[in-house]
Amino acid sequence: MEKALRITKIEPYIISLMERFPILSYYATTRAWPFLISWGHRLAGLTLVGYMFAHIYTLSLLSTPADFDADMRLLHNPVFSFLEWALAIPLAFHSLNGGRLILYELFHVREDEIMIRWMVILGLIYILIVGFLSIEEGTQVSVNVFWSITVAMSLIASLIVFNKVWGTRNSIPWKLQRITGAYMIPMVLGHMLFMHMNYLTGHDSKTILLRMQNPFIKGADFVFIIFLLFHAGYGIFSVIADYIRPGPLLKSLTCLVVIVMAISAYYGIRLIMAL
Amino acid sequence: MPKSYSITLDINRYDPDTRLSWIQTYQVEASGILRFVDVLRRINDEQDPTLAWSSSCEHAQCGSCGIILNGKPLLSCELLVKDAVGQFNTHRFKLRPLTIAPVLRDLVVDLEKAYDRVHKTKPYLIKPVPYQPEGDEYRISPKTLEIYSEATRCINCFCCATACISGYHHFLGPNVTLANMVRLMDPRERAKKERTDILYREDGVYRCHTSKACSFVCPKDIDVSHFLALGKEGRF
Repeated sequence: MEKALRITKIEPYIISLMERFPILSYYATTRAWPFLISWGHRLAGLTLVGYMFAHIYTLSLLSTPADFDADMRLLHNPVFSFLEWALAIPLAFHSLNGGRLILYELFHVREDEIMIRWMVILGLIYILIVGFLSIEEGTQVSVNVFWSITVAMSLIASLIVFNKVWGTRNSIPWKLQRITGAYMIPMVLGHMLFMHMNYLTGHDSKTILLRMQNPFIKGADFVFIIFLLFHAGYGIFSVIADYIRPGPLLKSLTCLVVIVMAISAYYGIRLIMAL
Repeated sequence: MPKSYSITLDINRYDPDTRLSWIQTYQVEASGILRFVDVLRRINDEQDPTLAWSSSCEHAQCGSCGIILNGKPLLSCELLVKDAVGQFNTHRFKLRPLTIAPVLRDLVVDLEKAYDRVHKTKPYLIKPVPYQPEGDEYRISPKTLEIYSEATRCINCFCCATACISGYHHFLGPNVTLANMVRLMDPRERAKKERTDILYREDGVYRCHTSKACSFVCPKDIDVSHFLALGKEGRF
C-alpha cells in the first residue's frame, strides 16, 4: 500500500517533466496519454522492424563465419553496446503495451491506468536487467532450459489469446496479429535477455552456430521468424491504411509490404535451415 | 460581476467562392462565463458578420457546434471562456473546423457528408420486436439497460471521429460504430445478424487501435473505447 502511494506521488512529477516537451504536452492535453502511447507503440514497432532487417542481414553473414566475427569485432565498442542496450527500450515498450492492448480489447481489463503504470514499472525493471547483464557479460545459462521456458510461456500466451479471439468475427489477419503478438511477448523479451547474458551468445559465430544446430532452437526460430514477419507486416499495413485512402496506392504499398516480408521470410528460413 | 478576459482567437477562414483559406485574428473582451458560441456570435455582431460557424440547440444536445480548439475537438456551446483559459493555460485560441467532412465555409463542415457514414449503420431498429398485442410497452430490465444506456447518450458530434488515431479512410469511426452497437445491445432489435455484419465489415470495429482519444474528448462522457472493445472481444 505504502509502495503504491509512493508510485502515485512520483507519477505527477514524471508527467509534469514529460509535459515540458511541447509535442507531448499538446497531445496529452488534446487526446490524452493513451493516444501518445499508441503513437509510441507505432514508432517503437517501426524501430523494431528496422532493427529486424539489420539483424537478418548480420545473421546472414554467418554463412561465412570469419566475415561475421570480423563484423562483430568492428561493432564491439561502447557506442554499439549502448545502442544494443537502448534497443531494449522500444522492445520492452512495444511488447508490454501490446500485452496491455490485448488485455483491454480481448479480456475486458478496463483498469487501464493501473495497466499503464505496471507497463512502465515492468518495462523499467526489464531495461535495467538487460543493462546489468550487458555490463556483467558473463552470465551462464542452459540454452535448452532457457528456451524451453520461454517457448512454453509463448505457447501458453498465444493459445490463451487464440482460444479467446479465434471464435470472434474480427478479420483473420487481425486475429493472427493478436495471436502472434501474444506469442512474441515472452519470445522477444527472452531473446534480448538471452543475448545480453553473455557476450559470446550473440556475437561469436562458433557459439551461435553450435546453438543453431540444436533442432529445438531451429524449430523455435523457424516459428519465431514467421510470426515476427507476419506481425511486422500487418502492423505496417495497419498504420499505412490509416493515412492512405483505399485505391491503387494503398494496394501497391500493401503488395510491397507483403513482398518485402515474404523475401525476408525466405532468407531468414533458408539461413536457419542452412546453419 | 464575473471576471473578464481579453482573449485572442485565430480562426481558420475559408471562402468557397474564391477557394481561399487564411487565418484571421480577432481580439475579444469576454466575460469568463461566456461560451465560445457566444464569443463567435459577438464577433458576428461587433466585428465581422461574414464569419461562419454552426450551432443549433446550444445545449450540447444536437452536436452541430463541434470545432477544434487549440487542437482539441469539442462543442463550442459547452466550453466557457474561463474554463478554456484554465484548461489550455493561455488567452490565445486557435479555432479550426472538424476534419471529418469537407469544409463548407470557415468553421462550418458538411455534416450531411459526415452523417452519410452514420446512415451506413442504419441508426434505427432494423427489425424491431412486434408490438405487444395487449398494447403494453416493451419492457427492458434495468440490468440490461445498464449495459448500454451510456452509449445511447451519443449525439453524433463527431468529436471522437476527429480525435481518432485510426483516421477515417478505413474506419467508419467511433461514433458510427457506437450507433450500430447501441442497436446491437438493444433487446428490441431482432436483426442481430445484419448488425454484426456491419460491426465486422472491412471498415468496422477492428480498425480501432484503442488509442482511447474518443473517450477523452467525448462531450457526453461516454467511454467509447470500452464499447468498441466489447465488439472486438466478440460479445455479439
